[in-house]
Amino acid sequence: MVSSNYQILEQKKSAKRLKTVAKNVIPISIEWKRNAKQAWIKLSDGREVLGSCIHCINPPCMEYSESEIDLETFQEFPSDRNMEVCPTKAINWPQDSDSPTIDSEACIFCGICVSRCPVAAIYLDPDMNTAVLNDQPNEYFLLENEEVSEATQNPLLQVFSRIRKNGVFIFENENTLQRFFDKFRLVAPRQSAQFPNHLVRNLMIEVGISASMRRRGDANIRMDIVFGQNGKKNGTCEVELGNGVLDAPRNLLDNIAVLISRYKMNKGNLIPLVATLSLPNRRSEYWQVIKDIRHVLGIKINSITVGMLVLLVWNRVKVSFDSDEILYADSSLYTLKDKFESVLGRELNFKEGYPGLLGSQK
Amino acid sequence: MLRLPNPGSDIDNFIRIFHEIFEALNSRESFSLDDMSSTLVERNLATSCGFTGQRALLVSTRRDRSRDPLYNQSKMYSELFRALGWIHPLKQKQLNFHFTYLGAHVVAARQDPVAIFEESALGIAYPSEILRVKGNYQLRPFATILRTLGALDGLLSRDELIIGPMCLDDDRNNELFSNMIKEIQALRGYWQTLDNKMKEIAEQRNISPNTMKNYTRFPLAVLRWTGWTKEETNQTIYDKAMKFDKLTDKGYKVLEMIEGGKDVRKSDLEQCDRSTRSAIIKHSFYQMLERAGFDTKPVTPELAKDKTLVTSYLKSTSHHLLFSPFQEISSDYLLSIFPNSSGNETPKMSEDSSISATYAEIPEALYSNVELKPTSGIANRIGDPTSDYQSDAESKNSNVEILDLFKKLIAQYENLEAAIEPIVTQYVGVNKDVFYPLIANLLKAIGYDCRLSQTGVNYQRWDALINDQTHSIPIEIKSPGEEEFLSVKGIRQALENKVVLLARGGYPTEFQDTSLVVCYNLPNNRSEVNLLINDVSKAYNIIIGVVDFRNLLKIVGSQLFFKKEHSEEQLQKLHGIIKLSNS
Repeated sequence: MVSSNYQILEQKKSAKRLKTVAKNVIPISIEWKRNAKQAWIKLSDGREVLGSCIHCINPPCMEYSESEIDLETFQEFPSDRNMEVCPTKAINWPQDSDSPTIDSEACIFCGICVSRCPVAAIYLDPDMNTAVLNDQPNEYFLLENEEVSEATQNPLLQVFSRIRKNGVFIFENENTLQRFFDKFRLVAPRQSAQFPNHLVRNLMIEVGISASMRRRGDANIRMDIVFGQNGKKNGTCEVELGNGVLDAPRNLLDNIAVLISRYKMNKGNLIPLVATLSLPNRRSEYWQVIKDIRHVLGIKINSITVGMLVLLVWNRVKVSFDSDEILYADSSLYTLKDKFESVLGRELNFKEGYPGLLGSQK
Repeated sequence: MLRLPNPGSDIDNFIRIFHEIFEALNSRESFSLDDMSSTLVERNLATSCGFTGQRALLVSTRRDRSRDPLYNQSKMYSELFRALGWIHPLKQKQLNFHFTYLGAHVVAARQDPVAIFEESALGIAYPSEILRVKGNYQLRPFATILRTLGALDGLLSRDELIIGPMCLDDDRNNELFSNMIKEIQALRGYWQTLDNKMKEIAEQRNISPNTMKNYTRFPLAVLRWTGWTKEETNQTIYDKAMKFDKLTDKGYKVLEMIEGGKDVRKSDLEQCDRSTRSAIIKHSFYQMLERAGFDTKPVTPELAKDKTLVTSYLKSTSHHLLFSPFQEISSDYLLSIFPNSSGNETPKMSEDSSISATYAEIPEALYSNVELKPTSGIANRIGDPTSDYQSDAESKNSNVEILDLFKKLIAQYENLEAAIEPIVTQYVGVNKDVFYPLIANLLKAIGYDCRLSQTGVNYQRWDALINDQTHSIPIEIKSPGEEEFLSVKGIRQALENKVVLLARGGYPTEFQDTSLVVCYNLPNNRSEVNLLINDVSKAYNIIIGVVDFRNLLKIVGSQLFFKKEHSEEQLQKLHGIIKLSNS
């Protein structure tokens, strides 16, 4: 026991200067405009200012809170409680900097940090193919010479959590999706073995699906991700961002068997999901095996691509798996485009996107 | 050789586990490995035998503690926590521990957990009073690895790490260090030379090359996680592309810090007078914390008192100390140097921390009995091994060959079991091109219409199939080249095979007929395979049977040479691992 009589020293806090906001004016909404990269904050006096970093004490663009990575429906799951928001560790906060910095080479343009910034200070720059953080003070966000404290920051965060938000982070087209795909393929090989699960878990959380990823090295639990919320359907997800997608359906059958047999979960309440980078082509047995599984076992294996999850994040759409065929496709259909548009709530602004984004490649 | 355990290569998780254990157990005067295991399962940080939570603890706990997976995992964690100086063993009970003042700072390092971990990693040094290890070496491993990287143009491969710093006897002997560098430089160029050296070391030290490689997992994970190195492929150092760890800018900065500091070991302190020793211990500890971003202002007055002793020891004002007292010196001594602020401590009564002895063994393996019954005369299902469905002449020949060999061995040993072993040995390591036809032909030899799937025909998901008018059985084969011991992969594939067969038809089968897996060896630890077979049957009502090569040979040999036939129906309904019995 280390007695409380011992003096435990504290780590020095980085010098974060306080950003306050102009008095006598309040923010009304955050607007992501069609032709602007950055988000604008509409103020009560009619002015509009750019979102600017307020130097959060617990920066949500960098770390999840404990409750955000909790999965209430499967608390026994031996999860990797990695709290990092950026799966490629592109966002960091150097000791000598007032605000976080984004490494443009490591950023894969997924938009998770953009989605989590309470004051819309982070935006996606399609020209630079990276997220960018704006720390410039302006007529509303004022840089002070005192140190930031929770007492000064919390009321401001509460105001921003309540205001209206309109628009999308980036309006998708063939180009933006292809750039995401190209950047992903450049950055992913340099990441750890846990990166695929980490990326998919974080994207799921960002689109409103509570999710936990397994700890690497724990050979006793094989399922990559479990997800779900109280009162809604639960699920298990196999993440195959490389060439192993054909293994995913049988791995899911393993997961479901374990969840039913060992954890007494209800088969009808479980949604199996395969997360891939690209959906397999038509010649792949993947589609037929999924159909066979539905036919023999009555289990509908849903499929989703990382690009689809990214599109949902860019569009600020939250998803709820309340049916087991929201994203179901098999060899009778080969495409998820219509179903995905139904989840998105509108038609997409392109036909195909990158190869395999929405349907099988021919 | 330096033997570092590897309870898991995810350092974030490693630190998280320490935080959880500290939070749960720091109120006790001491804690045991069982306390650690309980904490790990309570907080879902460990699983055992396919179970989580309390069930994991129950199935893991054995009377023979050396076979208890959770106990062993906790032991590995405790060894590394001790090496890092975060926990200390009790004097009287080496496997009971208490947290250290350094460990408490690791938990307090919420701002920047990396920096204190880096300091702790650099602080590992042997010999140590905290963790006695095999071998008689003087080594500060992570500092030595970084120095080795610096001397080798910033690049070091895993095998070079083993041959070099992990096998160095004394890192403060410049001649030994320099010879080690020269040896690695001399090995470079030809991969085979490097590989030969690895084999030589393995033989000298009586460790398998794979075990040696396992010892590098933790150090490599540390190097990459701290950002001191990055993994990259190099095409030019050896005559084939190989993975290397490359020193990063951050790694070079840490190396500079190491080389600019004074590396102090416990043995050096033994030469100092008591006051100097005490001053060095205090200063080096707070310097560590300072480098890890802690605000040491509160202890500045305390440190000022004996600063001159340290300056005089260092013979310079610029040198900093590279020494971590909690990683080399026992608590008894350190307590006199780091008194608590109240001047005394009232230890709490030790709680009885061993878990209650509710031993639960791993669930009984699921075995399925297949009887071998004597037949009168020639068994009626004996097929002709040479007139089969295979058009491949080579395959027919190999079939004749194995049956001839079988016959000869039986004649030689006059015993089926003894005759089987040379055959099993003969096929060790063979790939699917040899093993799949062999299995199909053995089944044909005892009368089954067994058909191999054609290579490249994707829709035939199974590797072979027993064609029957009513009870066709898909077979998943795992050659020893693919898997020496069966894993859950084969079970998953057998499940898919059955689903596909039922869905696509073409071969008559019933839902209740088995889906077969034929493997080379059964897994040593059968629990996972066994549990999954059980799970599949509970969830889908599909049964999966497993036959290993030895038992298949036994069935074939019994039928062909000893007139003992197995029950075809029992094989069709095989659920679990085959267990042959004679009647």
